[in-house]
Amino acid sequence: MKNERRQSNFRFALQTSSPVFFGYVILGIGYGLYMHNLGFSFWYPTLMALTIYGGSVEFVIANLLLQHFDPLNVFLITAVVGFRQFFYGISMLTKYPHRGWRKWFLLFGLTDETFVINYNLSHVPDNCDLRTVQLWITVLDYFYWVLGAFLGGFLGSAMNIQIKGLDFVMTALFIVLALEQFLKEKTHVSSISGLVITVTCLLLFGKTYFLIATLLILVGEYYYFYRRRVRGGEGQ
Amino acid sequence: MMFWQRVVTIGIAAVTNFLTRYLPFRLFTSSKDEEDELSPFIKGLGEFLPAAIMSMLVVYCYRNINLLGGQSRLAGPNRRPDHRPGAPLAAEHVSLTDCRDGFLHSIN
Repeated sequence: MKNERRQSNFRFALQTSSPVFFGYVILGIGYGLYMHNLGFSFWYPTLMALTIYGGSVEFVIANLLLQHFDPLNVFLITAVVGFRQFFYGISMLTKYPHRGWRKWFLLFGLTDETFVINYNLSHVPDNCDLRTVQLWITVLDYFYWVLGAFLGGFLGSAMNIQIKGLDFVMTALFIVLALEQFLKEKTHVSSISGLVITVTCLLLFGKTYFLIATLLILVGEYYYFYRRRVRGGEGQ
Repeated sequence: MMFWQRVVTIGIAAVTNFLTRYLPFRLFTSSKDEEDELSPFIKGLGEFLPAAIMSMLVVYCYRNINLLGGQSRLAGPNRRPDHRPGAPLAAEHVSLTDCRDGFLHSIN
């Protein structure tokens, strides 16, 4: 009975994380090939996927590895590129009540995709346990990414096949989840702010800094609403 | 860069990246992990942000499109795969969801 339950948790996690499978394996292969082209042996992308586990950070670090040793710069760039994950953490504060090593692992694995899936996961089938499913999804996503990075680095020059278009699966996942969020929410202030501010920041600040700018402005916007509400509460 | 310097570089990146994910929990929850102890501002922020972040990530997927460029790469044979427009998908998803809900409603 217990074993059955364990199986259904895993199966449900496998199903739910399948878009990430395509996205991560394809992107991971691309990343492995990229590092191969920079002249690194296959275990560099594999090791970086295992330890850093963050696509955008890994691409940047791959380039830094070819420059002069500059630890402070590595720290600053990683902090800037990974900045948005800080806000995933804030949003997941109440969604990850796990303890011990589980909590550490869930936080280690809080990538964009895992955040999107685990945040939206509020209903699981009756024979599944939400907390365990969240953990399995994190494990599986991690596995997909490491697998992709390893394959890309290993097959390197040997693989001359081009796989185009499959990485759209990930974009599709984000669109569907954003849409479901939009359809179920009571007010669209946050969704629309996100859209308008991100596009504006992309145009103003460019690809490198627009996410940071967007997040700071969103926090500012919420602060404004919050202050207004607190003041309104005092007035009554 | 020497070998040990590469290892240190990767190590710093790994620790820093983990910290960006871990710090909110360190900063905003006490050791007792009680939800009630979250400051109302942080709790509210955690409820306000996700919807905006979802929209942000969709825009992020399309970040390589040059919106102000004259020549649109959204269509045509040279279209990049990550520039596939999402609107048809969105429309399909909405209508499928409607159909499903309609169906479920009719049999209940």
